[in-house]
Amino acid sequence: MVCLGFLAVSLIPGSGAETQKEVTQPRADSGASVRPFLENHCVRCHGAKKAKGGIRLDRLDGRVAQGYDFENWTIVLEQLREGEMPPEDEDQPDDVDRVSVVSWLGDELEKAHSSERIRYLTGQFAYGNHVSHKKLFSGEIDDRSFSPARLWRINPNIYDRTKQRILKHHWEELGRVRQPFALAKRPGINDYAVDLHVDSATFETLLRNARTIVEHQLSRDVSPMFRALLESEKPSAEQVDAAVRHQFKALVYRLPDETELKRYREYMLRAIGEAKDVSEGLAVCLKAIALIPEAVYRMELGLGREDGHGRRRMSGHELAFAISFALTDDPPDAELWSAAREGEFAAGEGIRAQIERLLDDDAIAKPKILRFFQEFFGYGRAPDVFKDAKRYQNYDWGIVPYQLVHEADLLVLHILDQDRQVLRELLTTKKFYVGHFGPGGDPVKLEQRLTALRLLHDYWMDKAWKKLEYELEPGVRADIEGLHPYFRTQPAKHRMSGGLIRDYMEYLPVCYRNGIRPMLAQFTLMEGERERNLTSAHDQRFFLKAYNLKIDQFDCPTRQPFELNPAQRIGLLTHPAWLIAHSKNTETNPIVRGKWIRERLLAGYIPDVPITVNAVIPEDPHKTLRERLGPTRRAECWRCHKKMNPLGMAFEAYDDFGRFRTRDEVSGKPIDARGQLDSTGDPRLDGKVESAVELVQRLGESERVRQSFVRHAFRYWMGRNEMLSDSATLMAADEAYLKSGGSFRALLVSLLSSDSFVYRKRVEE
Amino acid sequence: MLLAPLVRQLSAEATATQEAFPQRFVFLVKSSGLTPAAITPDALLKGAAGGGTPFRAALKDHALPDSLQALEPFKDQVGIVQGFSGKMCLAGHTSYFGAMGVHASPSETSSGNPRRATIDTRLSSKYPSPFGHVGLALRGRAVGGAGDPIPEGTIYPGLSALAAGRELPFQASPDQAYDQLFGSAMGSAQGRKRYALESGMLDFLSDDIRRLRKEIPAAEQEKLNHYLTAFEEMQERRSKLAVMGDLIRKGAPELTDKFASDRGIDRLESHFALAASCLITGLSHGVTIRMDNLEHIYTGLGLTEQNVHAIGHGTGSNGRAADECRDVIRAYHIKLMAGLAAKLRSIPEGSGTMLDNTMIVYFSDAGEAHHGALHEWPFLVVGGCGGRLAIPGHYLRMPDYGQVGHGTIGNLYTTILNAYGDPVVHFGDPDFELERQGLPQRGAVASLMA
Repeated sequence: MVCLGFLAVSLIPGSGAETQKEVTQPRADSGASVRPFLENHCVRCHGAKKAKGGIRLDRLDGRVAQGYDFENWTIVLEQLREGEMPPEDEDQPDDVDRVSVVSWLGDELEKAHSSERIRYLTGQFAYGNHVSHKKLFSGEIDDRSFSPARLWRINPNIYDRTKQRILKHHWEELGRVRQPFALAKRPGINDYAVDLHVDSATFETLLRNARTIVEHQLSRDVSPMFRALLESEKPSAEQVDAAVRHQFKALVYRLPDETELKRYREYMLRAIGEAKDVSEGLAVCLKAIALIPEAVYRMELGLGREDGHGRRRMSGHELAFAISFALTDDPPDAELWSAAREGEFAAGEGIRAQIERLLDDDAIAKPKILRFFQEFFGYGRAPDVFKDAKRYQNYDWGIVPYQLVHEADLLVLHILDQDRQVLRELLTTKKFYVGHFGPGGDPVKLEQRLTALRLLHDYWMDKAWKKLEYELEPGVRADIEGLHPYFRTQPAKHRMSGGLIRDYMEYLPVCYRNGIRPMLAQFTLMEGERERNLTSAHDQRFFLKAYNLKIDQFDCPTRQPFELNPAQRIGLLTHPAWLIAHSKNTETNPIVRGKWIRERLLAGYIPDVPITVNAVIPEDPHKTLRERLGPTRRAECWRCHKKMNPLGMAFEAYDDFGRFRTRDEVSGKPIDARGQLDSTGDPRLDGKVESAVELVQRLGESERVRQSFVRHAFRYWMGRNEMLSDSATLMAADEAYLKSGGSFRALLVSLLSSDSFVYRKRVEE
Repeated sequence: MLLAPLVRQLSAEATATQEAFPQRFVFLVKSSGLTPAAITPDALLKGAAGGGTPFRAALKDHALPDSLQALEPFKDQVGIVQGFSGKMCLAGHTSYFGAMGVHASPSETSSGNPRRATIDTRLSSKYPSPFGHVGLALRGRAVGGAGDPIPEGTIYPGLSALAAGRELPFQASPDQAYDQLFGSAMGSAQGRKRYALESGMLDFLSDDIRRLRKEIPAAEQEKLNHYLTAFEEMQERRSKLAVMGDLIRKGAPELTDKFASDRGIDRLESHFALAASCLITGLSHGVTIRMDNLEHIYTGLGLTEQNVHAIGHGTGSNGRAADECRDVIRAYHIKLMAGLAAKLRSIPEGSGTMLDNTMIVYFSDAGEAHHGALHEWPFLVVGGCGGRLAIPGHYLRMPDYGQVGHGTIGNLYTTILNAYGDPVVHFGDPDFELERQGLPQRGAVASLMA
């Protein structure tokens, strides 16, 4: 029960009888006395008529040991045991009664930890912060770290990559192979091993996909192994083996062992015999391989050496997979397999060496890293917020949030590239990317493109560009290509067309008239197979507004990121993408913004909205949002809202489109963007702030914030919440980050070579 | 004519009760609200509910409103139910699982987990069938990404659930749905050989899973159990389908070009054809169709300029005012509904028709308006409802929100469940505001039951 020990320690220190001076014994029938106790001593103030502190005790579910009403019963236990309740000026219960209830509750809540409900809850990302922050970073816990032995459902991105590798550029099949593994779209980190399942619906999709994939494998891009079989009337065992091995490699990412090989060989031969048809027999066996559990769940059981402390190291094979899928969406490459075979993963250095090799190799795509930041910060959700485009500029809002998210991505990538004080930079950088290529942009090439555009503009200025057809006439095309080498080197899909020229010519004259440099971002968005090209002036006008920039005034720097407006915006929390993602459709959401800070940066937690609350903010065109949120100041509401509102209010300086403002649009009143850091757990952090800028600067310097960040990185890469036993891993990772001057790479290497990552333990009932 | 006795026989074997015929349920969920006035006969627009009791009028005495005209031939089995509230659900663009599950959702972009089986699947679960409850969808979640293409394959609109935490998957591609539902009996000899081989494959893999399960820690075995269950469910279904070959061949819809079309209304028509065939063959006794979402543009109806969201906000399209556009869309939906009703009415059953034993419900996941406030939630019901409800042929209006005798959708669904023999005391979360006002909302509305 080690993995759940933390709950017992942090929430119920000591059970009933020990804290009493006299040895008052609990009654034998303690359970039966609880409800009458509550009715006599509690319900008058915590019942249907009055619910002081927002707590109702008249309808608690009696199934405590099964984890029902866990939070409320825990509060009851704490308050009774500490003598906080009933209040001093009320009638006090007899000692025997109190001790009986406290003892019984203590026992039942202890059992609740192992209940399915609580195990479910503690496994959820939203509950991760319940583990004591202080204990995790105090050094008092000397447990050896590990992760539970587990099955971890394949990440949808891994499946997509597999699909791409097999189907390549065959667009129709790519469209018909559907993503079977939907991840929940909750905010935060959703790829947690604990409750990702494959149910019937997922299975049906997998089966349908398997049919499409195998049909493709046997009709187009037929591998020699399959072809040999298809062309023989009576296939030999060797031919069958070769086919089985090939399919295992493609879909299970490894070779079959001897037992498996024999089993599948026999199955295929049997199927061929039954169907009297080599192609059908082959097909069904290949489909079967696509559906075996390992094609669907990653196995992390700990098949390596036992260490004498109940832990097992993951085998070389398991580690190869774990390392590869930690950084990429692809199965282990040849070097990883070789390292595994040579036994290099038996020691930490071997693991670190491979991780560093992967990190150093720019040719290896490592999308998992950027995805962590998208999920942690949550700015990736901006396009999901439904907007009434009319309020923005009466334009189809569609493309704007994608561009903003993209620019936030570029900023993150740039900061990761620099790899110094990564978190502080992310929170407080004055520099932003606007309308630019990103870290890869070569300034010399950009200047060349600027020149090319000027030449284009000068060529068309006095010609009838508005009448251009999509396809340019050959003579015109030759002229354009003669203007500047840039136009000759364009890949086919970006080659000058009449449509593109019309777009440029709407925009370029505005720039040159006002003496500003045009934006050059070739923003390519893959939505299914669609691409969007954001050189269109029409599109550019709209995303600039989110930054409070005007299209006829924005002189786009060729060297980026650049200082946008440090008095108004610093860091990702003032980036329009983040602000939009944490707003409602038609107004800001200081509560959600505050909650985000409390949970992600301060490792705090906020109870769920009580079921009795109808959380709707009253409308009032004469009041600011801050004023309309007045009702949350009521005692029973402020208990939780004080943890969120003062943080989120600082961001009222930005509207729900991320635009900086000094006045509220609806009421016309000036914006009050003062906020407060309170009960953060770090006394140096607490205090009032005048603005969001001040708030994020304070957060950027904080140790607690840094440690909360480390906890979240842990969760993402381990696919689970931390336990107290992970303390050593977290402290080592924090130290690695600190000692390296805030290198995220150092943090990652530390996490991925930690005991938590490498060791498994079977957690039995 | 041969269909009816066979269906009855198979279904009677399947149901535990002594009912002569299985009851069928079709839930049609549109986005952007269902305007109460638009489905109310003119003369009844001012009909107020009297103190404590619902207001009731026979539809035979009134002309149906314009957009409901296609239902005239079925008027004796049309019911209009108004005035139930749903304020325990998320108000706004969509209530997600709230519309059929009667509980709140976290936010507009997050459906949260369904708290219980929704009314549609709960009703049909009483009448087991090879495919269980079927979900078909033109579009998914109410609020998609702007410019989202029409989805393909299995999608999860966040409307319907089989159980707490278990969402009902919807099939967005009519051609895939066709394969899935009718593929066991339709198609070539080659296709059927393949089908048999696949059955063998399911057995083979089930063995593999059972073997692997022994090597996994107990805490993780559940995951393999889920996977194994998926196989077993599929095998069970296959055995049932094997018996139904002739039935399926007779009742399957015609596989036209529309099934693979990219046009919204082609797909909707295909989904309705699939739904009719499912019910008639008995492959399923419950279907939920997600009609559209706020992103959808009804180009097939001549509304090419604006999507449902913009129309809901009052923007006109193609020379028509917003309300007119809503009428066009609604009339089209009603036409599809009438087509389904006609097919069901053409199948004799007992002394009547299949439509007598069906309940088709048309409503919106946004309640009574594009930005529903949910103080009322209109429902249009077509079908005899197995004679269990006092709704067909009538217009019913509950007392207003906050008045004595008012009911929530929880009460409505409780009523329906009780009427169909599910003795739940109350379905859904309560409306705490009403409780605070001393108007607790629990139980069935007796006057709605037959």
